[in-house]
Amino acid sequence: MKFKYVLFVSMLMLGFSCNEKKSDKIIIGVSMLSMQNEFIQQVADALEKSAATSQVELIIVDAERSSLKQVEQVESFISQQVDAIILNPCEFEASSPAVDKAKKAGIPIVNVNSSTKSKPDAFVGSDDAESANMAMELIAKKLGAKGNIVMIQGYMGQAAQLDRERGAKTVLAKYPGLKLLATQTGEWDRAKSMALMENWIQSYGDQIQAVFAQNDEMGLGAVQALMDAKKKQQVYVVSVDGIKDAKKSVTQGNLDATIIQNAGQQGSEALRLALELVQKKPLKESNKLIPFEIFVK
Amino acid sequence: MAEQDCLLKIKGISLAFSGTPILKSVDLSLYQGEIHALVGENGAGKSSLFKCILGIISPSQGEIIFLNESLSGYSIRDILRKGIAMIHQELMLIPELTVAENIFLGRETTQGKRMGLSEINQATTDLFREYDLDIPFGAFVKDLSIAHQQIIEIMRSVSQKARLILMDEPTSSLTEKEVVFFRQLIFRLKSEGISIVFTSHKMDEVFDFSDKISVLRDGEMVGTFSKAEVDPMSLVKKMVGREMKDFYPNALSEVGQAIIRVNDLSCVPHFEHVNFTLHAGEVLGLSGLVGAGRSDIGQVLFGVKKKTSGTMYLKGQEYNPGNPSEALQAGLGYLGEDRKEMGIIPEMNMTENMSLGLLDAYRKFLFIDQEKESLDAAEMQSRLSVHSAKEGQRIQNLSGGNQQKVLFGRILLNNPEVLILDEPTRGIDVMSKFEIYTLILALKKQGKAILLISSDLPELLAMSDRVIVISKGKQMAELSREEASPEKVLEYSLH
Amino acid sequence: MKELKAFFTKTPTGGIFLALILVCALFSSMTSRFLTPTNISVILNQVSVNAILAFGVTFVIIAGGIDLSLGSLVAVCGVVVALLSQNNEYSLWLAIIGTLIAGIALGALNGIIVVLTKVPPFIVTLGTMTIGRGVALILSKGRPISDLNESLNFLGNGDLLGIPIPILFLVLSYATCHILLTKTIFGRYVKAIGGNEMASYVAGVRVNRIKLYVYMISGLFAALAGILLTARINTGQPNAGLGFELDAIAAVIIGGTSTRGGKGTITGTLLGVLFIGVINNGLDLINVSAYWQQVIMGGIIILAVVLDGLYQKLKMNI
Repeated sequence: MKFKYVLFVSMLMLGFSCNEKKSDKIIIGVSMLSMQNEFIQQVADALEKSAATSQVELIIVDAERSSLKQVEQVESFISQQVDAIILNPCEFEASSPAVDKAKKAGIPIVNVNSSTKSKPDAFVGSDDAESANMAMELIAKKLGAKGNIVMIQGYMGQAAQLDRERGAKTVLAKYPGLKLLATQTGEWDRAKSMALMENWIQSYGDQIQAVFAQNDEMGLGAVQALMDAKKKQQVYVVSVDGIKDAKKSVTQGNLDATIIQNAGQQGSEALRLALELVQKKPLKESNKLIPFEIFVK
Repeated sequence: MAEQDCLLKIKGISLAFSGTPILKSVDLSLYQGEIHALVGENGAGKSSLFKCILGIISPSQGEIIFLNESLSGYSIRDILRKGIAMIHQELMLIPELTVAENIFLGRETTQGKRMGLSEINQATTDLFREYDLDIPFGAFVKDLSIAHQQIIEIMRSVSQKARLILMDEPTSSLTEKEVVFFRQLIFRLKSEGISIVFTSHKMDEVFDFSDKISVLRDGEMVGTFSKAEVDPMSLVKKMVGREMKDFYPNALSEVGQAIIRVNDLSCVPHFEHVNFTLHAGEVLGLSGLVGAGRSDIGQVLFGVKKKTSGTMYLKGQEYNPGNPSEALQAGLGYLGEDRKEMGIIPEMNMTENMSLGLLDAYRKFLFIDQEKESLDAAEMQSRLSVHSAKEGQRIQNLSGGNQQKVLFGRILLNNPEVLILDEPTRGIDVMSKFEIYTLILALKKQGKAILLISSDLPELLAMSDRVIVISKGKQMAELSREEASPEKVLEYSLH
Repeated sequence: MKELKAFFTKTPTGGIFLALILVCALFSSMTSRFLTPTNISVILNQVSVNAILAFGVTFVIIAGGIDLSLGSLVAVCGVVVALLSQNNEYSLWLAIIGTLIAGIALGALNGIIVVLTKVPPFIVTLGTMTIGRGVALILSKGRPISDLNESLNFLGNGDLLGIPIPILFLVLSYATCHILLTKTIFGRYVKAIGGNEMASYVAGVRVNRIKLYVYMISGLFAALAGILLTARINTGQPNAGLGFELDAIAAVIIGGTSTRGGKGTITGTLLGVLFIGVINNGLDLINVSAYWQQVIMGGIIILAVVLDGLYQKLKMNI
């Protein structure tokens, strides 16, 4: 008796929640790679800012670097019947099912910042290889196409690490005078890269002329280690992303350059494309690349 | 007896570990259908002798002949197949398997064909019916009592067609009632021609069970005796190698004022409505079967367990310790029932074990006054004659008797007025037992109030001035020393 | 020679000491850059954070517990000290003392839950690990906190009389913990409850109180590690200290402390920390590829523990 009553009430509530859904406001689900990463935070901030101006409701969730979690989040967006999905993929392959599922459900999906194997309805981002390319060209110019470099890599096997490594290697191939002394992972982490740089200073001493760090956190760690060893003046350090701390370090004359990925533009463009897809407007370009900027003193 | 009836003959076995002789040219003959007690102090070589028979270690000299065949060169498994089994003190059963599975463990394939679960169960049922055992074959071993587990081990040996079963301290963890059953079982095995060798520290059992008694002392065989040739006193003398005046020293001393009074004390579900008074200079015995609630009374007095109702008075003041630390400060001392569980810190040495819980007395600024600590411990060591092979030796490497003496040292360091002693001589050698009895008597003469809890009935009756009998959590009787006979106490215990 | 033999056979940490010497010999044969005064200073500097964490958690493990919340505590305390020393709002001392108190309080929270609920410490600290990470994100709003007090940076990267300050902290923490464990009543009772909790209780040891203190010590040293880390990288990062608890616990166990509690030494823990630190440093010096570093690291750790086991057996026969 009691059980039947509970069943009845819960069905009633289920009915309500189904009816309640279709409001006139557009709802967009957003799954971000990791809200603990400052750059990703900036993209999310930009998304929220443009959402506020265009009267769109955003549901932002954090995948915490887990592609499995990300796929589950997209599944729940689909069952909530959101109007569009913005995906900041965790991994190239493993996050692909999220794109497939959204497309199958007929919900428009836009990838932001990095790509997946399955092609979404639209993509906004920058080419990671391009950023590494620019950084290494900067170093080549500074050293006169001849000298010793060390490279601090991101978390091994992630798309951003692989692309940035590829970009750096093309420049190295172009200038035979540039020599890659050593390369090692700093796991995107400031403290780890600092320790790594300290160890390199021990083994290579004054041979190191330039450092390429695949993100700013690691670049700042390297700068800290070089400053402690009083060697910063002799070593040129470039990193990628353009986070606040890095820009400040550049203006103070510590970090030499950072390649800015325009987080604000990535966010606002992603939201614009998602809205156009919801309103079924024909897209002018479904693959929007936001150019990098070099930030130096 | 004729030579051909000889089941096992041990001829001149010697054994040494890193230069220290363990067994010195030991001879022993065992006959079919004989129950043979092997006695000796801890370290006399009893377990080493067992290990030699089982082929776990091989002797440096001598030979062992079983059924007219030398056992040298055979593996443990071969010897087991030939019909020698061993029941260890720590039982070797798998708790997560059923009774039947344990009995047939490792032998699921007999005569080349696999025995299914139903066949194992059937075989077990038949076996149990034959021996009138009332244990469900499908029960998990972990749910059985120690006594039942021991029976399972014995049945495993029987089902393996053992001709000779070695038992190391088989009764040490059994209750009185279980010992009675155990006795029946081994006599039944004897009637079927199975021989049994067992070790025990309990004199009454040695004389009750066995046909013959062999005494080992310091690795040497003192001799094999029939029951008519020896009595408990002379046997103990043979074991320790010197005269002992009276095994249970006791003297009535002047009973002083009441120290502890317990009024209608209950700790549900362990015991209810217990009343007694404990005086200075008195040993009050607490008797009852294991699980009757006698240990719990001691634990409530010492603050290990909480009372549920009733009152306790210490020297006229109401007393209710919140934890052992408070009981300690109030002047009580406690020796737990299980030395391993409630007594020793195995990794620590003698000194550290003695001063445990009492270190506030050795505080020097922020640190421990280690000099004073070891001085006091050393004094206590010589007072209690604790034998430690080398300084700083971990207590887990000492014999049970020495461990127990260290725990007494811990109690005495705090100089308590009241001592609660739960099984003070369980599983320790005869010499240590005697020393502890002497110590208890000395403490009593000093005017300490002693509550003695023990399942060793002869010990309890000999040491106590009065005896309280507990059965199923209820106080059945309070008997004076004169009234307390073994029959009477047992009758009240089983009530 | 006799003294040397006595050292290896008498001290419980002889096995790991031997392994450490072996690894050092191996690296110095492979590169001349390894055994230099500056590189030794670099190694000590790098291991200081892990060492301080490991010293604290040694007490917990000897008492028979475990603390998985270490890494998160480092993050929370790192963020707290960064917030307190941002823009020179408070004096450095106030920031440090405030952070240490926060660490002790968080440790006490672990201890209180363990003591009161009797839930296994593994589960309790797994829970507080997640809570701690969340708190660090909330306090920092998910962003690194920079613009810190200059003198905080000095703590992480400066030196006193030519000795880097993190190394001074390492030495001080080592001495304090070593004395605490071997010379005080508290240290004795920590070993006792790890060895046999019930027996200790019956002997009159205030078991719950000791357990609470043990987690507070772990929290205190996590706070100190958090302060040092923040000072070293000059920012307070909410995602700092990820996985630090595993490094610290690994060092403690490599250093010969039993996971079942009851025995262990601070010296052993220090050797364990150095062992891990030396391998990390050495592998970077000889430039082993990032993929292989992980394989080699894991292999060497297992080898060290196996070696120690063999050594203990050998010791019994001497």
